[in-house]
Amino acid sequence: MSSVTAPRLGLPNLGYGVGLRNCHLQHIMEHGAQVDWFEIISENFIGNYGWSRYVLDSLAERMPIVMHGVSLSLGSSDPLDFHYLGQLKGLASAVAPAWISDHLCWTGVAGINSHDLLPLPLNEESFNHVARRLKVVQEYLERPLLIENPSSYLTFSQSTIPEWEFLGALTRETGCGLLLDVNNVYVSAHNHGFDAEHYIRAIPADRVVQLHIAGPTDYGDYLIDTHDHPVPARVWELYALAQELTGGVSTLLEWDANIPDYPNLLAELDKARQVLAGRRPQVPVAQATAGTPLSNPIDFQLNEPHVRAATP
Amino acid sequence: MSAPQLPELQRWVLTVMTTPGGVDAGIARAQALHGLSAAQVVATGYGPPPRLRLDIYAQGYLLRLLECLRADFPTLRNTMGEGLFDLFARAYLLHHPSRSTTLFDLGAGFVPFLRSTRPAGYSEPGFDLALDLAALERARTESIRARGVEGESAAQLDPLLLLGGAPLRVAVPESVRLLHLSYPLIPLLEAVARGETQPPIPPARPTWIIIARSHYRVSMHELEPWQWALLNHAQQGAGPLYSGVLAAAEAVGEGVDLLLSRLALWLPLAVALGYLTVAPLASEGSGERPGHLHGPAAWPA
Ligand SMILES: [Fe+2]
Repeated sequence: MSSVTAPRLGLPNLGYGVGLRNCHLQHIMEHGAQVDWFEIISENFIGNYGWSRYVLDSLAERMPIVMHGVSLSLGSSDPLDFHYLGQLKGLASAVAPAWISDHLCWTGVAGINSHDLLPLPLNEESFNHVARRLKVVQEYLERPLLIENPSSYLTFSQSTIPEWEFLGALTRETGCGLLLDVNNVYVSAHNHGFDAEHYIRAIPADRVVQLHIAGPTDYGDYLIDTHDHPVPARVWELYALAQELTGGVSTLLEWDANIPDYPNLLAELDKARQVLAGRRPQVPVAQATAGTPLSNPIDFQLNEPHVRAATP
Repeated sequence: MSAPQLPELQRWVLTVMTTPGGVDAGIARAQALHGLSAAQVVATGYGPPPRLRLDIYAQGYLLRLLECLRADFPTLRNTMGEGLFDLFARAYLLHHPSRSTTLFDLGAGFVPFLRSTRPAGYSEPGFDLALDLAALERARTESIRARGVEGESAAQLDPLLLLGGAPLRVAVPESVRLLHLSYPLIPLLEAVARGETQPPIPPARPTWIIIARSHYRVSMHELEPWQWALLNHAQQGAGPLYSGVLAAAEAVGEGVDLLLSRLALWLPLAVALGYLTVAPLASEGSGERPGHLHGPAAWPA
């Protein structure tokens, strides 16, 4: 199988993309996509036959779409949810995504979904558990999955394997690809005291298919993955390193709260091109103001256009 | 003591996150239920202590779900007041944690939950208003995503055909929601959507409402009782238009002939607004799957 040795599992470098968000749909339909590709949150389009699904279907006809999921709960000790997997497969057959991704995490247990991306204890037991389930999922979806490193705010006393080793072993064991979120590496490195650069150098670069970039928030003792600010300088450095090591993979800017208008979102994405041209935007990490932090923001029906246009 | 395994650790963390009353209450309950302290589960030695780390997840859990309910029920929240709304929302989340892979489903049980909190025999206009608002806002959210009639060629309905007595079959699209409420609430929803913070509460009046979608635009309208009764009948299952007229006539105590003449005027508009689809009854015998919701793609010339 050629994909075993080819970089990016033999998948293409799609270029520069953004997450497709409801608040931008009208602008995109009127002014065009102006990006190379879009990433969608799969759950937002499962069972959705409304306006946003119509926009997705028309975009999917003319540009690459990637399906990014938040509910696979790969690491949960609950059984795999085959109803959900069936829905995911159905959406994939309609959208024909370039690939499908989810996270190295669990979202709930005992049937309850926390709708958060929760960290796993990283040890032999959890590795065998995750690898076994990932093989089942990939067989069911008939394609390799991309697994993303989440941001985390705690590690377990029971963890014995560093996250970068866990992910490296997972891709060797299951043939999965990696979605390397350099912002999440930055956040977790800060929160747990490891070296972000070491993490990125230790990840098998030939298995990285996609990168995520985003802006976190500094809460003093810890960073939170808020996806609500411009990408800070340190994340751009890690991004440049990852692009150098991988030889060039798809870039996706995530912005999920305090979402800027589409032109400003594109301006932020354009910084990624500038970084590859050798420039380094000197943006500080956003400092927390008042309010409770919300980690791993998930774009749901907030801002769903109840009424699409002002007049009939 | 053997090292705790994955299921135990996950139950421990979820208990901490979902226990009401804050992270300390969650840690205490998790220890009581699963016999593990925070220091036994969460690694220490670098940075913030376990309690603070767990608190990020515990606060995030509640806030994320509250934000979702607030976004789904803006008018209810505005009318009840933020404090009272959050009180009900927290109680709802405690008794009905999400079991779905999508947050779209989170608000589905909120209306029945609110209804269930009414003490037996308790009658209070504010409570009826809140139930009506919750039902209306949930129905609108559902209509946004449901299967509609978009993508099918628009049916051109000739009113003369109706008056000529051609047997017709009507069906109501999944994107339609019908509500019988005690208050006329559409202006209130529109006012809150415009950003008004204290719009006037309308006096109670029986109201028949339809939420429908056409060209992906969701709209809400008040219907006349006979229109509502006809659509309500058709929503139970696609069938002959005439049986819908009979049902509506019986429901509102009007003559069939009178309703038929009103229907001839209203039906083209109702089709255009996505309230229902109409097809010749005969099409069922010509390969059309019986019970198919949307009817044939085009109205025959
Ligand atoms: Fe990410």
